[in-house]
Parts: sequence; structure tokens; C-alpha cells
Amino acid sequence: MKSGGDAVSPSRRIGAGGWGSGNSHDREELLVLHDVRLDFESLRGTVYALNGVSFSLRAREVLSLVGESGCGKSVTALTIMGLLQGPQVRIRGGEILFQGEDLLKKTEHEMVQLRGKSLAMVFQDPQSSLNPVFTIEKQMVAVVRAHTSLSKAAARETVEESLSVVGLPASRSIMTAYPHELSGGMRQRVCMGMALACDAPLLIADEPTTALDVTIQAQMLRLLRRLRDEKRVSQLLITHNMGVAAQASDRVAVMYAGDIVEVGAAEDVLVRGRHPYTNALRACLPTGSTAAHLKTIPGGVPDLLAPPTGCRFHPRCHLALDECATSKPPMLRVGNDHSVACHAVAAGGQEMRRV
Amino acid sequence: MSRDSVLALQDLCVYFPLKRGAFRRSRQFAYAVDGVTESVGRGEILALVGESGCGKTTVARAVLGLTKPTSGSIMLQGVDMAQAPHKVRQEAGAGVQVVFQDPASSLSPRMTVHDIVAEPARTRGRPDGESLKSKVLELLDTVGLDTQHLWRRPHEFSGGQCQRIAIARALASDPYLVVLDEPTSALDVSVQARILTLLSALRDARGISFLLITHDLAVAQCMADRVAVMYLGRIVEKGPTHAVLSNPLHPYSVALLASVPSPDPTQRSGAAVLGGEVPSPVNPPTGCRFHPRCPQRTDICSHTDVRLREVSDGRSVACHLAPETPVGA
Repeated sequence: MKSGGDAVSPSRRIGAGGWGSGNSHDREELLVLHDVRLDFESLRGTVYALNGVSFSLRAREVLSLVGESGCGKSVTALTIMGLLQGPQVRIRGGEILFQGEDLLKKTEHEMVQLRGKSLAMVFQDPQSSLNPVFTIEKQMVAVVRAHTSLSKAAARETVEESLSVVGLPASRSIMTAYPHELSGGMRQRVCMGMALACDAPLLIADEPTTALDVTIQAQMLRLLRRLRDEKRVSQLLITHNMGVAAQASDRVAVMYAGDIVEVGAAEDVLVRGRHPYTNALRACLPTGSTAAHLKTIPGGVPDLLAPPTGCRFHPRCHLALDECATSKPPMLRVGNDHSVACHAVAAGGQEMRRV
Repeated sequence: MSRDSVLALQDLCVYFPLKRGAFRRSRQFAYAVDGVTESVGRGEILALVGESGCGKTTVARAVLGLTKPTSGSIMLQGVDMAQAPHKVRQEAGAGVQVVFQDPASSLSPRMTVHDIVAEPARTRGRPDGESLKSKVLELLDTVGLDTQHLWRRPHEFSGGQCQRIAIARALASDPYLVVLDEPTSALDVSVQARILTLLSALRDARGISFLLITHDLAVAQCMADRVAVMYLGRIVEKGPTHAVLSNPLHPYSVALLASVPSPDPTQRSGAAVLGGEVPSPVNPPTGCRFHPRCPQRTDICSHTDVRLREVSDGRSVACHLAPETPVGA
């Protein structure tokens, strides 16, 4: 862990302000999740996937949802999009307010209108989210025309423009190409262009750079930042990579086994994290020059068929108190824009101890 | 080349012919690996780093004998794998094992953990059941798996546990060299940390050499003694890990390092992002292969080929612009 975590220089603060996080909490909230609970019925029993997820995303803000596989990041995203359907999905409660309206109360027909128009999503694997038998132009024009009353020619112009926004300048030749003719990075740009073609105010990106090489990833992160600054697109970024979260987002929410355990400004969470899980996750990152420096988290990710009672992290937590096993810790405000769900932090004392 | 190197590659080239119809002979090749010279010493960890398509996995496959080299030589413990008699090659090759990226697909779903781990030992000798079982139990203990899991099958394990089984299998034939092809790329960070700790302990305890193939520079940094950075089939820079990663000399190494997002949001990189993408290995650029993307290219780069040359003790760079005089370590 780098020193100087507390001594953030004034220029940094100004830099961060330039990023729009200055007085961001005054801004309107675009998306609010309140106590969303979701289960899956499986043959082996009920999987308690989301255990009361609450967070909010403000306009023109990038919020990263970080956590390990199976913690519910993607389930959260798919629930917002209304893409989890079927007899095995049980939404047990909560609300998802998007521009003030509860998405969980909408009919499928209403959601179809919203998806692509107001809520856009980009998936991890750009290969499988594009249709291999249509040219880029055909699939993108279809999206635009489904949501607007534009003519074919006008829709084509919109598509060309959105492709140039995502950094595909030779969009003429790209439009006539089939997905397999493009590289992974170009395909992901096409997916983003498609998501933006209808000027959706919210972009949900599920591991958008995980399948890409680091140099291409750096290009994509730059693009996401530009979309926020120039096109004013709010983003919910789902990633397991703390580096991506740190570089791309204004705020970060950490998930563990279906719970949000910590949420706040990126600097607060990733540098001055309070939750034991956040800090343990950071300590696992290979930063030193030998493997001997690596910390690990004891135990494994819990089985969501029978999640631990109380705080779901307590069996692996070195700060666990008696009450952690019995009651779920409430979100506690510990800073200006920084909340933690942890009994040990609430009890004070050793919460600042680094893992 | 030191005498005690367990693996020595001399000017290794692997070209893949492109199919041009059933009867026409191929005239085009993908130059996947184009002149790689490298060696791995006993107990040493060498990391090959680079982006997808740079040829790092092809090098690994050639070392394992899964891909036939077009030219150049591969020496395993002093045995030339192209020329030595069959028996000698078999003996040398048996001491080379591999751990693949995806633990789930590299283990047979129909075999129990015992059978998976026992198979290499079984094919080499003819041990009886009891001594085989005790050897398997010992290996599972080494990699930190519960010995009660002996009769389970891979689907009952998590990704990290499957990777431990794969490591136990690799250890079963007492290898001197293990090729690790992206061993932790499919794992979560907390699991990755444990696997890396295990691998590093194995090197210390058993003196096994590792050829670590990774795209993750942080993994290379904490594991490897030396790194070789590859770009489009060639090594562009190599040397001791700390020297290369803290003071990269080749513009591509510099860009690669700058592209890694820092987990510290107060360190937002303002460095220039490398434009463009890796060119096709079918028509590699003339001259220095990196020149179309290089921010510092000059005229010479586009028409004159560049070879690795030593700039200081153990450090080599393939760049026209690298300092002529040896730099301090």
C-alpha cells in the first residue's frame, strides 16, 4: 500500500474536482436501487443472490461495482435491465428507480421501449453480443429505427456519427463489415457505438475491458471517460479489476456475496477503505516484487444456497465481533460521500487497521 | 548461454501456413514466432509477457512439443529435441509439464482427482496401487488440497481448487521445468494470490524452473526472476525483472507498463495511450515491427530490421533508439 493515502495534495483534489466529483452529491440521482432482494430457485434449493442491494448513481457520474466472481455484480446489472426472467427468478422486494420511475413495476412491453433507448448495456464478450450474420450497419440501423422515427438514411447518418464518437473514424468501411472481420477492440467499440446511438443517458458496462489486451483496455478507459465528459453519459461499470475501477470511476461500490459492503468516492474506498473485505481485496493485488508479500483471504466465497447469517463476510473476517454472526450490519455513513456496512467499523477502535 | 540451463531456445521460428484451398500450396505464412533466443536456468522463473497474438503461447507449445518449430533449436537439459534419438528425447520431454489457463477444461470431467494426479506417475513407471495412492496424497498435501477429496471429480471443485489439481498433476512426474500458461488469468484476485504463493513456494522447495506465460505485468513482477517482453513474434526486451519493469528501455515495454491501470485512483495516468492495434503476423511491418505504433519512430525504424543487443549486464533491447553505451544496472 502506497504511503500518503491521507495526505492528498490540494492539486489532486482540484484534479478530482475537474472530474466532476466536486459537489456531486448535489446532483440529481439518475438511478437509485433500494433494498433489492433477488433469489433463484434451483434444484438444490434457493440461491440468495441479492441480499438487499442499495446504491445510487448520479447524473454524469461513473460508478464502479467491484467484487469477485459470484458476488452478484452481473445479476445486479441484469436486474436493472429487466433481463432476468423466468420461473426460477424471484424478486423478493426493493425498488429500482430510474429517472424517478420504478423499473421493477414496469411491464415487459415498457421495458422493451426503455432498453436501448434509455438504458444501454455493453457486455464482456463483444463477439457474442453482435449478430454474426448481419453487417454492422444493418444491426445498428435496426436499433436506431426501433427507437426513433428516423428514415433509413437519417438512421445511417446517426450510426456513422456514433461510430466516429467511439473512435472508429473509417466508419464507412466498418459499417459494411461483418463482426468477424473486426478485432476484439473494434467490436467492443461497435457495441458501445450501438449503445450510444440513441443517446441513452445510462450505460451499463459489464466487464467491458476484460476480454481486451491492456493497451486496448487503456484506449477503452479513455473512451469511457470521454463519453462521460463530452456526451454526458452516466455509467455503471461492472468490473473485477480494481485498477479499472480506480482509473475509470468517480465512485466505487464493493460487493460481497450479494451485499454492498462499502460505497463512496473512488479515493475514499480504494485508498482509505474502511471495510475489512475492501482492504483484504486490495492486499491480494500483486504489487510487490515477490510472491511472499501477497496477502490472502482465509476461507472461500460462501455458498449462496446457505449464506452465512448476519454479515456475510464474518466467517472470513479478522475483525469479526459476536454480533457480526447474528445481525446484518446497516450502512453507516463514515464520510462526506462514504458509507460502510460493518459492525466493527461502527464499534470504532481498530477499524482503521489495515489488513 | 549458461551450461546449467534447463531450457535453451536458439533462434526459434514457428510459421503457420495459411490454407489456400485444397490443392494449392500455401505461399503465405503467419509468422507467429520469428527468431526467439532465450534460456531458463535451473530453479529460475522466466516470464514471457506480451499481448494476445505476440507468440508467447506458441513458444510454450513449441517447448512442450505440441507445435513443431519451423527452424531453430530447442534444447531441454542439453538434449536437442529435433535431433536426439527418440528414447533420449522422451526422457528429457517427460520432465517438462504444463499448467493451462482454464482449469476446468484442462481436467477430464470423467476422472477422479486420484486418477488425474496418478496418471503421469502411472505412465512413467508401474507403481503398485498403495505406493501410488500415498504419492497422490502427498502431492495433494503439497498443493494444499484436502486429501478427503481424493475420489471427487473436477466439477465438484472451484476454479482455484481445480488449478491446484492441475499443479499437483504437473508435479506428479517430478518435472524440472513447468510451463505455466496464464495460470491465474481465470481466477479472482484473492484466489490468484494463493496460487502465486503456492507456485513460488514450490520453486523454493523443489528447485523447479518455470516458464511463466502471462499478459499480467503485476504477476510477472512478483513471480519472475527475468522477463522477456514479446511483440509480434519477437522478443523486444529482456532482462532481470526489476530492471526491465522499473526502467523499461523499449518504447513498447514503456507503453505496456503505462497501460496497466493503477488500483490507486489518486494516480490517474496522464501518459499517452498507445494508438492502433497489433498488426497481423501474416504481413508484419518492415523494419522494426513496432514502428507503426511507436511514438518515437525515426526513418531508420521503418526500413532497417533491428535485433536484440545487450545494453548492460543481462539486459537486451531490440530498438534502434536504445542507448549505445551500456547503461548502469
